[in-house]
Amino acid sequence: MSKSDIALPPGFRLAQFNTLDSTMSEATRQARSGAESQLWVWALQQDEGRGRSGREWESLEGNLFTSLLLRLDCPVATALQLSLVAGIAIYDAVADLGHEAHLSDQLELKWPNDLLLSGEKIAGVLLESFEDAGGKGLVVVMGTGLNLSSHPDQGLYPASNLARHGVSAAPGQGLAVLAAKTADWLMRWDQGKGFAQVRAAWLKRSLPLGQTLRVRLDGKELIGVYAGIDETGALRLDDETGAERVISAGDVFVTS
Amino acid sequence: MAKKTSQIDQSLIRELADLLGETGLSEIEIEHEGLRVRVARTALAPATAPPQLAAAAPAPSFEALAESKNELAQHPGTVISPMVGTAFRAPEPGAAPFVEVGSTVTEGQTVMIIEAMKTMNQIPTPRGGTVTAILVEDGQPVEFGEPLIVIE
Repeated sequence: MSKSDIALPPGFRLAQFNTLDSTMSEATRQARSGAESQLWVWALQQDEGRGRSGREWESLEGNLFTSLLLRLDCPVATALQLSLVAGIAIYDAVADLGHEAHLSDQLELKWPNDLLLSGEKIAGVLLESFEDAGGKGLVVVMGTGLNLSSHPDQGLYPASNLARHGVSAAPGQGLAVLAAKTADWLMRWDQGKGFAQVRAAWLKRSLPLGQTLRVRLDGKELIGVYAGIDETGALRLDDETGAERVISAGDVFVTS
Repeated sequence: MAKKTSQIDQSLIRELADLLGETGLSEIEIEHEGLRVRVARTALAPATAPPQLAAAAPAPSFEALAESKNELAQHPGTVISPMVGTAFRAPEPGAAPFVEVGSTVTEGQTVMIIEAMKTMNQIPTPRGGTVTAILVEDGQPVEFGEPLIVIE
């Protein structure tokens, strides 16, 4: 597919590749060499796709791998809210792609931004932030992987893909829809000024409250009842004593 | 009762301080019968001191630690956490740490990653120099404003 086939929202640019090590690494390189904000990096294939905690993101051709480079003026603590923005954007993109198949009834966000379809993961997001050495402020790279035509068998979570649910979409089509939804939600977020709206929109798309969740971080595990997110976007769990635990990092599992 | 508690504290702290010396860890925190004690190696060594010398600095007392953490937050060479999250000393599990005590760093160099909201945030140094203290362990939860690393 040629570049001209992808329609991006105004103000956004595309760097397109057949193969990359990872779109996260390429977006970081682009930022380090001075690339402007609002650049989408897209590859048809990646050799070293990354997930949380150094895990590999298995990158099968036919799926979408893309990273958005953003330069921000807000403090890094505020930029963390983009984690929820990214989750909402991929949710809305998949709801759009699966409009005819009425997929939105089966879509749920699992904190902070895994997208589940009928309880199985079909998309994941990873973000990285760093200060630009040239004093140009904070850079955030928002990476999204969407399983369009296939999914890995032995990931951390049960997984699926859109084709399995009767939705056929090419990666370029996925990118165009994701870029449109992301631009929309970035505008509403407005570098943190619109976070209340983002938080409410995220909760509307979330797993139902009251489910039992298991959170794993660095070899430790915590089990509790899902109580939504706090005012910063962190995960709230009520543990077995009824005490509220606020979690900012970890792998979250839904226990049935 | 108060006297007894204080005796327990002292022996506990002494024991932890010894452990700190033996293991070479920069910090130990335990919770026992509702009492939480953290002993950390926070003594500021001179910039020229080799790491071995810094490690041999006397273990600070409980009170001294609380005080020194406050002081450290004001220190111009202290890297503080810009968020609530989990600190990682290496780019990924099993990789070599960004810095060790004694490492020479330049301004803006990444010395740690703090993960929050599935965002991996590279934490830069405010200035160049030598790392004289690392105040958090790999995988440790950190608070907003918590001192992470001291650079002299």
